[in-house]
Amino acid sequence: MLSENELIKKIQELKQIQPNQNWAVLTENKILSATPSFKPKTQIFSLNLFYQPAFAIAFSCFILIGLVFGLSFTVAQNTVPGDTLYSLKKFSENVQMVFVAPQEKPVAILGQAQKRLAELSKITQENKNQGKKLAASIGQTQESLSEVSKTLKGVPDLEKETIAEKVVLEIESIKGQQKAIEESIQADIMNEGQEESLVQSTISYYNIYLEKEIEKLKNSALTKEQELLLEEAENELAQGNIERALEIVVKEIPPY
Amino acid sequence: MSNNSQKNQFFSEIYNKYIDKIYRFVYLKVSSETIAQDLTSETFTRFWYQIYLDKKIKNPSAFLYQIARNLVIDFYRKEEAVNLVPIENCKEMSDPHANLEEKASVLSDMEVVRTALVNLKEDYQNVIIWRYLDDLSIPEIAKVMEKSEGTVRVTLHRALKTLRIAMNQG
Repeated sequence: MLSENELIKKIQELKQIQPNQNWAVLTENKILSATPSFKPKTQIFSLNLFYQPAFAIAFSCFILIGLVFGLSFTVAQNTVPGDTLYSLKKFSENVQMVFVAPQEKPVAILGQAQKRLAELSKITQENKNQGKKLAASIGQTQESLSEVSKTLKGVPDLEKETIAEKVVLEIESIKGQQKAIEESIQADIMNEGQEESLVQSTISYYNIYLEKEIEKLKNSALTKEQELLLEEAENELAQGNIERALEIVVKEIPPY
Repeated sequence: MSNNSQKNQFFSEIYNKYIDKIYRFVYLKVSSETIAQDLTSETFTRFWYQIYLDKKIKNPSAFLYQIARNLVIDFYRKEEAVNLVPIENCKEMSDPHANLEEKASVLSDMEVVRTALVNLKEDYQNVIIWRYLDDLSIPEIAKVMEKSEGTVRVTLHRALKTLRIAMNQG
């Protein structure tokens, strides 16, 4: 039986196991000369930050706030005037409007007015007692249509040429919605002054649009009857009867 | 360590101090010069990487042994996965009851000790290597093993006892 000391001596004989000295030197040089491949990549955002408690808490709060806001904004998109989150919807629309190019703004404002009318329509279609919401929604619609009048008036003449067709189509759509709602609630959405202001702000667009359309029609192959209608449309436009001229150009002359 | 020459100097100091120990530690477990060289080289390469990235290493010796241990474990896992374990490298496959004196007729005394040692369980192998070959103190071994000094003393005592039995069994 080996004593402990004898055993330890035998174990220590294993100290003779040593690496080849040439290999050891070469390996050291090889590791040190490999420095460039170890160059750490520039990290824009270090993951180690996540292990800092303060950062983790701040980051979690940021994510939580983001989620709450995101969820609220999503829910707010389906709200109507008088709802708690409606102001968030308006806020997000106003923010979006900031990023709209100036030349696109009139059409975007018209889009917003259509949204207000859609909200109003939604309220009138619901059978519940929506008195407060109805009043709030009419207020929002009036405000939006006033904004339309103001914006359309401020557009330079040259730009009107480019957007006239879009504006006329949007205004016609708005008029259709407005008429349907007014029939439903048995009341006018806008007062006379507001109505007049909207009409005045859109006249120039209608004129530009109709003149262009009449010119186009003149260069088209028309029947005798269509030629007579076109002549009538020109006369109506000259007399300022835009509604009738539009009816002839859009509804009565086509197809051509 | 801010500049590269300081890093190089620090690495060289540690390298020269531990290269023999780490190589021996690995060699005793894999029984192959080539594999021991590869795993030792990889151990120091990883150590150099940490220095280069300015990572703080409180205890270089514990760090090096830990990397070496992990590399040996990975090596055996890969070998087992492809079923290419050389019989002398796999303690589970070698016969613990083999007559060591018979082997001694062809192997040197040193080889007998080595064979008996590699047949011990890993903790026993490690404490014996660290204490009697690498001359680590009990507190140093305790740090490397992340165990109390008392536990290390008991483990060392049991390891020697088991090794002695194995050596005398033949």
